[in-house]
Amino acid sequence: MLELEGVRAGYGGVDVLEGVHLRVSEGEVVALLGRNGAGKTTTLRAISGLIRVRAGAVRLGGERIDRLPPEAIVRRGLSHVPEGRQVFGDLTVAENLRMGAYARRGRSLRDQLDWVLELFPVLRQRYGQLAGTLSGGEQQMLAIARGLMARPRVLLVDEPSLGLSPRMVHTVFTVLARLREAGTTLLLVEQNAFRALGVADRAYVLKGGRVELEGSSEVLKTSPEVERLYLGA
Amino acid sequence: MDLRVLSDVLVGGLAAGAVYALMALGLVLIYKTTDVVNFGHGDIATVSTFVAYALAVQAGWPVLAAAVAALGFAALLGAVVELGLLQPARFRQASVLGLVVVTLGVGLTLNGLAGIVWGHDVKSFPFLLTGPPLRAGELTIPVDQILNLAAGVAIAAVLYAFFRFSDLGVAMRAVLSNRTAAELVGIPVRRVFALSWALGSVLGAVAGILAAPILYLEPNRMVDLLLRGFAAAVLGGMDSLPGAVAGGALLGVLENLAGTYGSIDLKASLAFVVIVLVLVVRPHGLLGAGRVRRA
Ligand SMILES: Nc1ncnc2c1ncn2[C@@H]1O[C@H](COP(=O)(O)OP(=O)(O)O)[C@@H](O)[C@H]1O
Ligand SMILES: [Mg+2]
Repeated sequence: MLELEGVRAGYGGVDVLEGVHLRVSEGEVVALLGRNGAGKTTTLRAISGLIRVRAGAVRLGGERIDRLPPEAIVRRGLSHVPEGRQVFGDLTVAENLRMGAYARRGRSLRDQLDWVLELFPVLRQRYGQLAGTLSGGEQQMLAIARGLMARPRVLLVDEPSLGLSPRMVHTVFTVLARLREAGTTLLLVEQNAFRALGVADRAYVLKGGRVELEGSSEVLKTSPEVERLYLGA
Repeated sequence: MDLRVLSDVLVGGLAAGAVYALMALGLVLIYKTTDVVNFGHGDIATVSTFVAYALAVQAGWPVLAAAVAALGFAALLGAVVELGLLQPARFRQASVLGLVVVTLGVGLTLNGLAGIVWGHDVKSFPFLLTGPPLRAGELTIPVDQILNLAAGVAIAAVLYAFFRFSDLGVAMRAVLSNRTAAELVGIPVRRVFALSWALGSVLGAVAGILAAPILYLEPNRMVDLLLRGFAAAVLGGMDSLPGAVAGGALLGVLENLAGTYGSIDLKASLAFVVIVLVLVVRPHGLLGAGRVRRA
């Protein structure tokens, strides 16, 4: 479904990613792990078109998307829930969700909205409220919900548990598990390696802009490298 | 105090204030969406008004048709400034100050062009509507004042509905709330920037065309109007569209009160006093979000 082949990208003149290869098959949940600064966020930004892919290829459902602007990539079915939530703070929860479906505007949002509000009941209570007034955990729910409103074929989620209370972290991972059961194709970036491996089928470990390690969650859970990552994080 | 004089002052003040508000709305819209204070706003309005003049007076079009065509011209001009100048500059990492200087350059260029094409002799500009004044009891309201008020109220209502209910209007607010997130949900941010420049320029042109019959037309005439638009925008908080409307109305009334009960000099300098006072005492104005960026 999603495929990266030797992707190089970065900021200014410097490449942060030095040839990243990874694959996410349809219906699969894949975790992207690594220390702070390993290039996880940069990888997601390159996939969704926020930064330019300097070399290599990104394919979505077999089609090259690495030269497309972000809006064209969303329209082809890829949603990116960014690090730090990035909700539209001056818009209401309802308007945030409506904007999540901007790429599909003109078509009915009813079913998608019902599903998303069922997945995140708290958003129903906050529906008319400005997103900026929500708690951090609620904003994270909203950010994921907004990403789902586009009915993506692939969902990228960047550090959804960052800065949340343990209870909220638990809620977020419960939601991710439900998305997995619903058959969502998911690429999940997390610092919390063991939590992430709990929902993921497979994982990649990024280091210095390259994939250092890949394998099934079962195998990686017992790997000393991941253990080090976990302790060192 | 004579009630009749007072009501004349109020209605006349609101009619002038409606024009200031339109000017301010254009400035605020562009500032809010693109972070750039447009110092070319007055000159874009002037040149657009000259286009209406050329069509109506020189080419003999019906004045309303000429005005509509001039608004189309303003939209195009605004979009060209954004797409042709500001976006390439942003792409090369220009600072906001650099972009503001670009708008200043655009204004000076347009001002020079207007002088070359239409000269510096003062021209009279036709009223869009003519007719007998409206009488309501003791009060008589000239038809041009009614037009200003109607245009101000109608445009404010349309803008409100646009930003509240339409996909594009909400998308414009989304862009200014969080640009990265806007890109990620698929809003074409560059086109939204161009659209707000087009819309902002149209609002300025409406103000210019409404003011020209009274102000007369000359390349430098709109400076006063621009400053009043600035004062209204600052008064309203610079980043608030309702604030711009309230600021314009308030400034118009205050000016008329100052002119009637104070002196004509006081009236003329009131806009500057307002700008300075607001920036010193309450930088986020009446309705601004209070997120004043400090240099
Ligand atoms: N906007 C930016 N400009 C310049 N360098 C950046 C920017 N964002 C990240 N970097 C650099 O890129 C590297 C990878 O960052 P990032 O992809 O955010 O890592 P991760 O998400 O794995 O923590 C880091 O060295 C970081 O300093
Ligand atoms: Mg990151």
